[in-house]
Amino acid sequence: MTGNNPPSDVLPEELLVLRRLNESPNVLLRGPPGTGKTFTMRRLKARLDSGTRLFDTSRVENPFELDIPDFRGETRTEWLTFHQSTEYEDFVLGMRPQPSSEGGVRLKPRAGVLLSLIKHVREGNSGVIFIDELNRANVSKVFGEFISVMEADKRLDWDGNATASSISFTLPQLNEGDSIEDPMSEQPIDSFERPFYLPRQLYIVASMNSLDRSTAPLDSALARRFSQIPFEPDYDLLRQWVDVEEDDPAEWISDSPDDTSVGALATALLYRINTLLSATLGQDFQLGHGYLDSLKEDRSDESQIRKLAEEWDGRIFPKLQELFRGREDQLQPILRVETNDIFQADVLYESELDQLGQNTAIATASLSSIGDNDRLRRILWVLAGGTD
Amino acid sequence: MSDSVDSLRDCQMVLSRFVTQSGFKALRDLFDVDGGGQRWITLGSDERILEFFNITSEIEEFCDGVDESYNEALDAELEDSSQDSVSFTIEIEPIGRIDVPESEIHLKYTVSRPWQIPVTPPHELWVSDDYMPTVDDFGGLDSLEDNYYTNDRQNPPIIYFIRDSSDEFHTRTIRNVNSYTISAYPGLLQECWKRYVDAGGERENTALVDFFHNEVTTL
Repeated sequence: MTGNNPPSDVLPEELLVLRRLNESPNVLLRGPPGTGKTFTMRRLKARLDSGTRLFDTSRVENPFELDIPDFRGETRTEWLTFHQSTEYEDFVLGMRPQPSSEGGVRLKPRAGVLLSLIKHVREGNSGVIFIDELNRANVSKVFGEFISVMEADKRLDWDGNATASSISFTLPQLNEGDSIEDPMSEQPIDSFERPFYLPRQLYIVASMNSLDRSTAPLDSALARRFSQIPFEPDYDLLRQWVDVEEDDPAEWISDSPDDTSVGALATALLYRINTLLSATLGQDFQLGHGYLDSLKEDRSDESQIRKLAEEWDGRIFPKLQELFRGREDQLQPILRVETNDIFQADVLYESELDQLGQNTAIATASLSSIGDNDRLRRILWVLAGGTD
Repeated sequence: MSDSVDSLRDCQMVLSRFVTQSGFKALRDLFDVDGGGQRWITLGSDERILEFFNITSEIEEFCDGVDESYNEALDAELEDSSQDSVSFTIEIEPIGRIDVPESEIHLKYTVSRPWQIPVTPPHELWVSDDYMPTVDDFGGLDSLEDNYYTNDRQNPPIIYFIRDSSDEFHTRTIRNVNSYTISAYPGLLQECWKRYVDAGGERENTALVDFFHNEVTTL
C-alpha cells in the first residue's frame, strides 16, 4: 500500500533498523518490555507503507545515500503477532481440504505470509515481514525449513542470482504443477520455479522481550540468524516526555518532595527501580520508559501526580510482583520497607510513612486511592529515592 | 541509538531537469546581454509540474477558478489583465552541511509558453563549481551552442527538486550523470535518469519520480 504520509519525524531506532537491514535481511529487536520495540516496528511499517524515501537534508551530494535498503519496486509489508497458536501453515504453507471433482476431498496448498511475499519480491518488488512477540510461538516449528536458508549468504544475491553459498529449499507438500492459493492476492501462485530460493529483498523485522518468563527462550540456532539490536530504557526520551532538563540522575530528586517536579519524580522512580532490578535480576529485567508513556500528555501538576500513582498501581507494581514472585524479600530494597509482608499495602505504606516520621495508616493497597496529593507525592518521592 | 536523525525527511517525489547547453549558459549568465538570450531554465508545459510544486490552489486563486486546464486558465486570465506573465514563489530549504541558506525560486508562466524558472539570480548550488560543470568542462565558451533541447555532453548535469512529506522543497544537482554517479540513488531515480541518457538527451528532459505511486513519468 502506498500514498499515506509517513510519521513526520524519524526515530534514531528506525534508522538503526534500516541500516541493519542493509547488512542483514533479518533483524531482531530485543529488550525489556516498554522499551519501544513494537513502537519502532509500527513506525517503520507506516514509513515503508507510505512508499516515501528517506533523505538527508544536510547533505548536498546524494542526500539519499544513507546506507539503507533501496526497497525496489512496490514495498509490501505484513504484520504478524506470534502467539502459541501460530503455525507453520500460517507462515509458510498450509494444506486445506477442498472437495475434488471426483467427489472426494483433496488438499489444496495455501500460501502463508512468507510464500506470498516471496512471490511479490520475485516480481521485482520488496517485502517486509514484521513479527511482534517472536518467541511467543514455537519458532522452529513455525519457520520450518526456512530457518536454514534465511541468512543473507544463503539467499539469492541483490540481483536475484544464486551464488555459491545460496541454499535452496523444497516444499515436499507440493506436487509438480500445483497451484498455490494466495490469500493475500487475487492471483494464485502457479509459476514458482523450483527449487525455492529466498530473495535478498525479503526482509524480516522481529521483536521479542529479552527475558519473558512466560515464554521459552529463542532457539539459539534461530537467534544467531538474526542481527540483534538491543533496546533499553531511554531516560532521555522519558525526560523529554515529562519535561525534565537535568540529565544527571543525582539531580532528579531534590531534598523535599515539594521541590521535585512530577516529571523528575517519574524519571527518578523508573531509574531507581531499574538500577535495583539490574543489580538483583539482570539488565534484561528492567522496565522500559513505555511504562510511563501516559505521562507525556500535558496535564496539571495535580493530575500528573495522580497519573503516576495510577501507573504505579496498574503497571509498575504488578510487574515487580511478577518478577519477584516467590522471593518477595528481594522487593524490600525497591519498596524501601523492612517487612516481609510487603503485599499488605497498609503495612507497606504505613511503614514508609513511619520511616518518614509520620504515622498515618493507609487502608488500601492502591496509591491511587490516597486522596491527599501531598502524602501521595511524598510516598512516590520515597519510592524514587528521596530521603529527608 | 546515537545517530542524528534531525536532518532526515521523507521524499514523496522528485522533479528533475537535465541541463541543456542553453540552460547552462543561462545559469552561468553567458549569453550576450544585448542578444536577448535566455535567462531561465525551461521546465515544460505539463501541468503535473504545477502539482509537484503545489501551486495549483494559488493558480486557482489567481484565475478566480480553473475549469480544466491550468495553463489555459492562465492564458485567459493574463490576456484579460493585459499581463505578459505571472510568477509563483517556491521556498527552497537550506542545506546544512555546506551552509546554503533558505532561498526561493520562481515559477514563471508566460502566455502560451512553457513554465520557466528565471535564473536571475540562480540558486547558489546550480552555479557552484563543485556541484555543476564549469565552462571549461564544456570545452570553453566557444564550444557551447544555443541548444535549447539537448545536451550533447555524454554525462550531462542535472538539477532536481525534492518534495518532502511536509510539502517542503529542496534542490540538488548532479555534476555528471553516469551509471557510477547515480548508482547509489534510489532505483526509481536511476531508472528515470538512465532513460534520458540512453535516449541521447532528446527533448523531454524533465521527469517526475513519484515514490508514493512508484512511478516514473517523463514530462
